Amino acid sequence: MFSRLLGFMSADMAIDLGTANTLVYVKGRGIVLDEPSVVAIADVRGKKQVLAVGDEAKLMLGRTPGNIQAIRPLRDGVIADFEVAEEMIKHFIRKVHNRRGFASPIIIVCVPSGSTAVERRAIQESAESAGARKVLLIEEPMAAAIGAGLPVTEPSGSMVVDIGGGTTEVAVISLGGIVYARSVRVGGDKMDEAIISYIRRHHNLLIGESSSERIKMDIGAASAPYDNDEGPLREVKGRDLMNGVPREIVVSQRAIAESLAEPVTAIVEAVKVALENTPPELAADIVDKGIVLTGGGALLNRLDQVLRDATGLPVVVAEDALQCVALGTGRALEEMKRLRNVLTSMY
Amino acid sequence: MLFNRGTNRGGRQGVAAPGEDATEEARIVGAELAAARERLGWTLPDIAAHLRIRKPYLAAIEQGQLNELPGNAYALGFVRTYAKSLGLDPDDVARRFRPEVKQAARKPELAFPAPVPERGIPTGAVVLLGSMLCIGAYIGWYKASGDKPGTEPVRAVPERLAELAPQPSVPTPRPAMAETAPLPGAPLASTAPSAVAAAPAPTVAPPPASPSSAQAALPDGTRILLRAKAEAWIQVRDRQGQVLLNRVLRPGETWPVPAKLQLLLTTGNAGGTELLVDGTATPSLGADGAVRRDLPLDADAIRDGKLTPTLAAAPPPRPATPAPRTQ
Repeated sequence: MFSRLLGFMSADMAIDLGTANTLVYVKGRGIVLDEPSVVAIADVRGKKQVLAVGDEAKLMLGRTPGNIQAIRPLRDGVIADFEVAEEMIKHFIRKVHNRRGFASPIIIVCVPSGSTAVERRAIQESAESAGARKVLLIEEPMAAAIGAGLPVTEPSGSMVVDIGGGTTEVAVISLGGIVYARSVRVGGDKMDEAIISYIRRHHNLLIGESSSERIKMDIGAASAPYDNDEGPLREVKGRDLMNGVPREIVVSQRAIAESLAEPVTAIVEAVKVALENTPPELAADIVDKGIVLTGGGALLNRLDQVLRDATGLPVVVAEDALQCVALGTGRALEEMKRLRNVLTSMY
Repeated sequence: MLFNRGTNRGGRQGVAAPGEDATEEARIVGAELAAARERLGWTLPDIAAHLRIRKPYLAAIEQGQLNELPGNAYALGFVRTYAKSLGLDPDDVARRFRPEVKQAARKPELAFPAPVPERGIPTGAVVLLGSMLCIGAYIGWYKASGDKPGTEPVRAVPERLAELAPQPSVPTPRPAMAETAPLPGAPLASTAPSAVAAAPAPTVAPPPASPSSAQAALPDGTRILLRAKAEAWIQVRDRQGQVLLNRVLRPGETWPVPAKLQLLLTTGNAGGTELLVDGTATPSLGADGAVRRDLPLDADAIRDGKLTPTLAAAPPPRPATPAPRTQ
């Protein structure tokens, strides 16, 4: 009864709790919040306090003094730091409700299809203790497919590849259910790390995660440019490992593509394995319609072409690739009655 | 789909392009794509091999035949991919293509396959039927057992039957029919026909609306009316020990004393028992809760106040039973 009352006062939310970004969809309003999943925590006289969440906290990432920690509470698509994740969800709930008290919404959170029961429970519990009245979970590839506008409920196979910050989800969906799903812990983060280690190896320069991410978004590519072209160039700054002084170098797209070969190969392999495990009738549908890429990783240059060459299938990038999962989760929230089949709870 | 197209057209009223222009626009975009392809000197099969998009789909895009394309998401993806491969701005082309695609196939309605409900009586009907049966059974039971209400006025045992009754505190209720018209074959009826004739069986009257109405109802020859002011146990018998009345009278209940000599009254609540002689009240029989035994019901004596407690202290000369008093 009381919770009903609270529910009346609060807006139900769908959260794409991603490794890199957290998107919040509010029922009837659409996506209202898109911020990095970063929390800055200050140590005030031995007591930990949240200093900043989201964009502000991301600026602090890697630039903090001793008493401040900028933490990314999610790793590989699941919660790595329970308390910080809870603080972050709490912050987002408050922000969405304009700091109005007594907010107790229904929250739908998406989880990687490869996550274990323990990891799902952790996500559900942190959302519950952040003040949710009821928490439902949806599998990420299903949310991505719904958000990309694929006809998931038809008796026809659709293949969706969601390349997120921490994980890449490959799934074949038909009749509103997941026929086959595969989750590999390769995503944007692994690409950033690959760029960092490549530059360290080849240029003896240590760069930070933020710089690495910026290069990836600027000139990152899944394959080298054609015709022996070096592609666009970018300056990158960091600390020289030989003599310890800050230095700036210029990297080319070709070099970045080379550094990204390993994570890209892992994604291609995951797609191939998924295709191998697809029942033949659904495989026939996929030959016809192809693969849809969603998630931030889908925006990597020429990734679709690499997958096209590797699989021989049409590969398209979904509209609003970055928001597909949040849109799909939001649609599940809007049509909760109809889409309850895809929603689960750990209790 | 036709319906969607209609509503969409309605929604885009005022925007210069209703209906036909939508596919026209798609055709223009398709023609642009085809021109760009020819400018680059590529043939359709080349592009199809490069993009791995089936040739019929590419041809459908170039000719603006939206119905040939698979779902909205795929069609848009194909258009973007195609535009990008031709060096056009994919966002621009897709934006111009989008409303048309949306019109041809809107965001797919998601209808999950639901299992066919099992055949048989629906649960709701079973529950309803069950509860109705329960209620019906209860009502039936209530009707069947509710013939004698809990506060049934007890009829005095008729004189003719009193000797058969084994002196119970409450006489067994007889069917009214047996009282008024005794069955001819019944042995009970034949035992004392004279008694029936002599004194019609008096019954306890329910509380009357007013004393006068109770008076009017008095049978012939009856002078004394017994009335309870409070709950009182009352026994009336004659000298032979025949019990005429033996029960608890509730406040207001009256009992006409039959015109018969030598009746004895015993009351468990002297203060709550009132005797009316010829319709006039007589002095009280005693204090509340006092027990009086074997008071002779003689109309004149009562009217003279001979039954008041002071008189009762010196009991009237009576050989039968000296009244033991427990005050």
